[in-house]
Amino acid sequence: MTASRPQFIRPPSDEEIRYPYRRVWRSLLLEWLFLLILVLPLWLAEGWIQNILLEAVLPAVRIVIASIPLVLWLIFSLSAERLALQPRRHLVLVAVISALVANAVGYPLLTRVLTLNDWIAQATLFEQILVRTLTFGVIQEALKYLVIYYLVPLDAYRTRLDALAYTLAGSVGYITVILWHFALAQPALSLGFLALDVFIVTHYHWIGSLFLGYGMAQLQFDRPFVFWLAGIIAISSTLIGLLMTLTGTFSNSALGIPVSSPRTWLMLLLSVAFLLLVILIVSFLFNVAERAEKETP
Amino acid sequence: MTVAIQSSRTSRRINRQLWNHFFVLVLGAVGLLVTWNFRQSILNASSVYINNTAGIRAVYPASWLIEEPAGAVFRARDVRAIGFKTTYQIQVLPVGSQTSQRALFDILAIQRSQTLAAYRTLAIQPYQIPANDVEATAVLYTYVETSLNPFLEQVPVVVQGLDVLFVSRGQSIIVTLLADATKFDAMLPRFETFIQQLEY
Repeated sequence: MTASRPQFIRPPSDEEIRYPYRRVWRSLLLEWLFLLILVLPLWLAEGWIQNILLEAVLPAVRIVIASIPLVLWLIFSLSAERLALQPRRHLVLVAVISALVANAVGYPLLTRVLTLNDWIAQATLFEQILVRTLTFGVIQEALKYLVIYYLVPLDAYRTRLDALAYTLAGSVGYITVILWHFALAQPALSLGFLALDVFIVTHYHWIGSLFLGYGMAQLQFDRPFVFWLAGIIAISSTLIGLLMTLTGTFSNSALGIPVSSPRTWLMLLLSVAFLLLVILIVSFLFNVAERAEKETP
Repeated sequence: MTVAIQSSRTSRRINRQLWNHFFVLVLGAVGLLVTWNFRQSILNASSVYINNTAGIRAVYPASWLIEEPAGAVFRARDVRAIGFKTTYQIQVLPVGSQTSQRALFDILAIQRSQTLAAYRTLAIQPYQIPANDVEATAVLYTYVETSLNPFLEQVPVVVQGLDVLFVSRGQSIIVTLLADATKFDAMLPRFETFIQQLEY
């Protein structure tokens, strides 16, 4: 007679429990990585690319370059969302309506009503930071927030990162319209500079969206004070104003006798440094908030 | 009981969200107003030009470049403008007691038609300067600016001009606006303010 081995029920391993939602941070990092991979060669080989392309196809190429953030979002966020067990709803709607709001309100407000390009260069450095904070920061972020506020129902927020997914969806719609306008309005701008602009504009919109996502998540899952969201938008807008002014100011070519060109590498480095810093801060804040929620009885 | 507590929490949560929403709207409105204020103060910033010899005091846009060229007392140009640089100019010409304003315009028209390409007078009409209640005459004209950088690959610019002429203390003062014809209407209100603030 042989002793039978005791039969235990094996506990499920971590790998078997599939996370039901799309991982927002992973999508964002993949988008950032591929944005860098696509933009860098365009920026480094701008003269060569411009020379081999026919004049007639240049406008189409400009639109394609301006659409890079949208394409990356479609691949790494939206299609990944479709593969998740519990996909988030309303993402496409948020992106489309944000694009329409950018086209109907945001872009005309800054370019035709406030005519920023006509006077911002005459302002002092401090005024430039303040004006960019209020316009490219506060006004644009408030518009993106309003779209999400009116489109996404409260029951759509199941985890804190849902808010981040919605703000990033809103920003991609907004960015796409702004970049299309820019690509079509500046036909003389080289493809390399356009690619660089795509990179930088995407960065400062992401910075705003990361903070806005954190602010909205706290609003849904916590009990922040009444100025919470306005304060979060003000902080992210200050960073945007600072980044835009610094990239514009410090990237100017040095004065000197030899011919010099703008220090575009500095613009690139500043944008990356700001975004990485914001990603670290916001992910830390999300972790702290989630941990606090778990520990609260 | 549980339902009542839950309902009270939900209500407080919605209230909190509404207040947050309200303050975001306030922040957006403040941003818009402050930016508009900056815009107006920067675009309308002005500097004062005083010429004691000619007895003229003018308030011109602060960012413009002033010159005292031969043939004119004062000239201010918007050097930041792309293409034709919008210009304000003041000329002072001595006149006899019998010289009419019309005769002065004819002299100017003859001179300009010889130096400016495609010079055409568009209109001559009375002009009232409200600040000083002075009767003046305005001449609207146009010409083609061909003296831009010849290496620039661009078509010549059609310039529209407005001369406002009035006589004061035995001398005629001609205040001129020159602007790209496409921007002329937009430049006119500020030029009218310039004339109203002119002291002579």
